[in-house]
Amino acid sequence: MAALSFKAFSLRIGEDEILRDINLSVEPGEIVGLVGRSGSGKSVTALSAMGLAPNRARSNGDILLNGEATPATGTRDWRQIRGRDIAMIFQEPMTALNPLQTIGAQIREAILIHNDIPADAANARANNLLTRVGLDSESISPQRYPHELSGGQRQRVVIAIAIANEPSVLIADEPTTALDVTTQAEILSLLRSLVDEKNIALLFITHDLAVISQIADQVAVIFEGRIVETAPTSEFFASGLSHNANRLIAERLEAPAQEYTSQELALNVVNMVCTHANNRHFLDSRSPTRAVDGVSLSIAEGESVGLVGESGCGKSTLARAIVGLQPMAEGAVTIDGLVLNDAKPAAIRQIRQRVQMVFQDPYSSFDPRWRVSDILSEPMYLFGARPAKDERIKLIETALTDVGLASSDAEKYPHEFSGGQRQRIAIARALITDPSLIILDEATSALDITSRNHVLKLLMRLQQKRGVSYLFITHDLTVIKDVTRRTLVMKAGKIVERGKTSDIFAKPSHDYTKSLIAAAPTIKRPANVIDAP
Amino acid sequence: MTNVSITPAKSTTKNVGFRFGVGVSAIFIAAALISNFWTPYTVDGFKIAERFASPSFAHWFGANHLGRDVLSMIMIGARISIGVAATAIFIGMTIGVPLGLFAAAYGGIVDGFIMRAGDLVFAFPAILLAILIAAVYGPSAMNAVIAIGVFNIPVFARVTRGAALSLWKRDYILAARMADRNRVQISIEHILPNISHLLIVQGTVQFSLAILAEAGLSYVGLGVQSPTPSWGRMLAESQTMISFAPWLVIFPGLAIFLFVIALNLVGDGLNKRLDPREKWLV
Repeated sequence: MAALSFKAFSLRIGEDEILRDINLSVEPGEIVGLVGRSGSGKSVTALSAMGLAPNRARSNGDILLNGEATPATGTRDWRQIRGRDIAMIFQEPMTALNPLQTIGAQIREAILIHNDIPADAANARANNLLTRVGLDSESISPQRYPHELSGGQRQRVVIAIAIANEPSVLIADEPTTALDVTTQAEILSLLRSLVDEKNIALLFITHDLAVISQIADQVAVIFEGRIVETAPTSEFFASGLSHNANRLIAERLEAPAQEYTSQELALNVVNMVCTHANNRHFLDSRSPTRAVDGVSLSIAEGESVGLVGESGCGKSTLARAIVGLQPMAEGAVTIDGLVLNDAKPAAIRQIRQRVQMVFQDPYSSFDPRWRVSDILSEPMYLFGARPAKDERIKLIETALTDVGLASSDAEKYPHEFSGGQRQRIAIARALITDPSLIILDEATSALDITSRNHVLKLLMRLQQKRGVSYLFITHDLTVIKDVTRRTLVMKAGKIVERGKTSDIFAKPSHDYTKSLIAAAPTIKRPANVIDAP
Repeated sequence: MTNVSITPAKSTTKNVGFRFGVGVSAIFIAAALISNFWTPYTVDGFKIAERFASPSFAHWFGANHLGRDVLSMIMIGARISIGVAATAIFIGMTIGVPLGLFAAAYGGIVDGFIMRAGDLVFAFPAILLAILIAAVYGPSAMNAVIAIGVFNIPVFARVTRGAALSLWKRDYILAARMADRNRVQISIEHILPNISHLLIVQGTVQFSLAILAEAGLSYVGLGVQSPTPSWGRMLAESQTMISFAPWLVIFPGLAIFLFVIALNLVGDGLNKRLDPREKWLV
C-alpha cells in the first residue's frame, strides 16, 4: 500500500487551474522525485499533501495517507497528522527555524506536541535525533541557536525536526537548492540513508534533474500542473529521453568556440586585498579579516571568465571592489586601461560606464516602485550629461530588444515579470552604458534550469554582437563549464587554482577543486547516451 | 521556487475597524472645519440664564458654568487639537525623517550622534519641555506645538532609520551606486518612496498621540489659553462640577477618547493596506 497517493487530484484558485488530475503515489522506503520548472505546480502539490493549500483553493479528488483519506484543508484534524504521519523539509534553512529558540528546544517542541512524555525523555530523544542527522552533541550543542550554525547544519536540524515523530511520509521541497554543492551531496546522502533505515516514503521536489538522477527511485515530471510522465529513474534517464524530459533538461549549451586573440585587457586586477574590520572600537585589537587576500586576475576583451567558490569565500567582495563599491586595502584595478585606484569622481563615472554588474536576486535588484524605463534610465547618469528624452527612449528600446523583451515592457513594473525576465531586465540595465565588462554575481542561481539556459544563451549572443567580456561569479559549476573559457577557483580569499575551464574540469589539481567537482551533481546516464561535447 | 502565497482568511471585521476609524475621524475634522465659520452658539461672554443647562434640544451637550454651549466648545476644541497636533507632526516629520535618512545613509559617527541625541530627547517627558518653554515664554498653543513637535522628531528619525537600513542592503541600491548616485540622491529617489507607507502609518499613530498630548498639556494649563476652548482645559475646569453637571466631563472626555481610538484604527488599517508585502498575497 502506498504511503502517500494522489488520486485524480485537481486544484484551482479562482479562475486558474493550478493542478490538473494529479495521480502519484509514493511507497514506503521509496524516493519519488517530482521535477518541473518554477510555476509548474510542484510546491502546491507538496502543500496540498500537507493540508496547507491556500484557503481560497478549491480541490477535487483525493489525497490518501497510508490508505486513508486526509481531512479537508484548514481543519483541526490536520493537527494530529502533521508532524506525526507526514512532515516537510523546506527549501530555505535560514528561515525554517525560529531564530530565538535553541535548536534543541525546537526539536523537543516537535516531539512534545505529539507525545506525552517527560521533558527529560524528550531531551534525550532530541539529542539522539541530532546525532542521527550528523550533528553530534559533542561538537554541536543542542543549546546553540540557528544563527550559530551553517546552512547545511541548519538543514540537518530541519530534517531532525521532520523525522522527530517517525512520520511515514516526508516531503522535501527543494531541500538542497540553497546549499553549496559539497553540502548538497551530504544532505542528499543523509536523506537516502534515512529513507532506507526508517522505511520512509519521500516525495522529493526539485527543478534539478541532476539531483533527481542521484537520489530518486521514481521520477515524475510535472508541467503546467499536469504529471506528464512517470518512470523509474534508470529508465527515465536511459531511454532516449522523452520529449518531456528533454524539455526540462533543455538543450545543452555549446561552449564558446572562438579563440580569443585580443590582447587588450578589459580588466586587470593586481594583488587585490580587501579587509573587513572586526574591531568594534579603537581599543579592540582583533585584526581585520582578509576577505580578498592578494587576488590577481585579468580578462581579455570579449572573453568569459568564471570565478567559482563556496559562499563566504570572498567572491562578492572581490566583485564589489572591482566596480569600486568596496574599498581596497591594497592592489590595483585597471578597467579598459583606466586605473580605478584614487580616480577622481569624474573618472570613476567614466570607469563605471565600462563595467556593470548583474546581481543574484531578481527580486531585490529593482526598486519595486520604479517602472522599467526609470530603472533602465538610472545608469545614464554615468554619461555626465543626461541624454535627451528621445535618446533615452531609444537607448531603452535598444537594450530591451537586445535582451529579448518588447519595447512596450518599458512601462511595466518589475513585479509584472517572472524571475527569468527580471534577469533580462537586469542585463538590459547593465547594457545601457555599453560596457566592456559585465560582472554576473550568481546571476543565474535563482533561476530554474530552462530560464537559466535562456539567459546564458542570451549572454553569449550579446557577447558575439557587442564583444563584451563577462566575469561569471558562481557556485554553480555547470554554468562555468558551459560558458566560460577560463576558470578561477577561490577559497578563503585566495585563488587556489586557475586555468582553462576544460583543463580544470578534466584534471583538477587542487584538492578543493577536486572536492567541488566531485560533489557537483551530474545526471547519471548509461554510456550509450553521450553528452554533446 | 516556493512562491506559493497563502492568503489569510479575509474577514470583514478588519474593514469595520478601519471604516469606523475613517468615519469618526472625518466627523471630527468636519466639525473642526465648520467651527471656523459657524458654531451653534458663540463661546465668549456669560449667559447666566443657561448656566449648567443639561443636555437638551437647545444644547445637545449641555452648557457649562458660564452658560457656554459644550458642543460649540468641543467643535472649536477639535480645531485647536487638530491644528496643534498636525503642526507638531509636521515639525516632527520634516526634521525627523531627513535625520533618519541621513543616519541610515552615512552610518558610523553620524548615525551614532543622531540616534544618541534622539535618546536624550526620549529621556525627558514632553511635559518638562513644555513647562520649560511656558516658564520662559508663557503658556500658549505655539509652545504646545513646539513641545510636542520636538518629541516627535526622534520618533520619526528612528522609524525612518530602521526601515531605511533594511533597504540599504537591497541590490537595487547597489545598482544605483553603480550608476554613481550619491547617498543623498539614493535616499530621496529610492529609500524615501519605499518607506513612505511606514511614515504615513506612523504619522497617523503619532497624530493620535499628539491629540492626547495636547489635551494633557492644556489640562495642566500649558496649552492654549482661555477663552479659547480646548478639550483638556474643559476637563480641568469641570472636574469640580462632576457631581452635578457630569456632561461637562463626559463629552470632552468622549471626544478625546473617540478621536484617539479612531485615529489608531485608521493607522492600523493603513498599515495593512499600504504594506507592499500584502500586495504579493493577492
